[in-house]
Amino acid sequence: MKTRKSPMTETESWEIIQNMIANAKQDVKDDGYFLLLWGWLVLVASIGHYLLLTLTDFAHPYAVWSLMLVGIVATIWKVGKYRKQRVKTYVCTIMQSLWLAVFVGIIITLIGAGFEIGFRAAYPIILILYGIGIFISGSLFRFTPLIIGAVGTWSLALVAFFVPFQTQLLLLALATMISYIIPGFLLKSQYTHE
Amino acid sequence: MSNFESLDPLLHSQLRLAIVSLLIGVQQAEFNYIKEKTGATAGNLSVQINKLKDAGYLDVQKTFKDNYPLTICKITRQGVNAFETYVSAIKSYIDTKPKNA
Repeated sequence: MKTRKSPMTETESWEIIQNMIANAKQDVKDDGYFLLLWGWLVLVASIGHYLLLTLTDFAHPYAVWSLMLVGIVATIWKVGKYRKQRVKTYVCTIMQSLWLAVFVGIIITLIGAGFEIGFRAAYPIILILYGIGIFISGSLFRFTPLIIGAVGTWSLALVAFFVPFQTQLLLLALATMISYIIPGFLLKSQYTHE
Repeated sequence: MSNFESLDPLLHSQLRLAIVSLLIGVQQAEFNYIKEKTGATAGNLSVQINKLKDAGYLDVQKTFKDNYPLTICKITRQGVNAFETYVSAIKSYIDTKPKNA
């Protein structure tokens, strides 16, 4: 693009504005990486925990949650890649702060529940926190499957208050399917097609 | 095209309008990103960015990344206001323009 002496027409101005805005918009698309990463990890861990708890005598069935370390490492690696990007968007900054806040909330809940009131009390709160993260993400990207997933997760959070711990693990797995894995795949396919 | 004479001359230029339109949707962007998206030459882009900066439309930070100079551009509140005024002027011109013109 060059600067030129002859004046632009209104149509040319309009085209430049539209093209540039559309151009920048392509860079804020989400590829569903984090949804799929955490979705699969939490799904495998919660079902693994359930199976170990109900079908075996293994003394530490919760050990499967060490899988989350893989998620933390993969998240740090991906965030590092984002930081190297040549453009920074408000959506990206808000998403980072939002999920950091959700993560901190989950850690506080797990520590509080683990040391004081028991994990059965933790899972409904964790589901509420997941729902908040998913709902705000869906609103930011105007992506309806995420909003539906958040509403589903909050409904499961309510149910989780009334069921035993083993069933809570299955509810967590179900919440992960509807709010992470399915929207994650839809976002990924949308991203690939565009 | 007489209405166009009242348009902000700083924005009513292909490259400067492209720079501002690109930055309006993002928080900040590096010089090379703007160069790639606008397809402008580094020299011309640098001149136009400086004009926008001098007018208070852009905030330009010069820093270093891996020992290479790095220029980061961000639109200012004044730049957003100017862009909004420009867009509504263009829009009203298009709206009032006779269909067969």
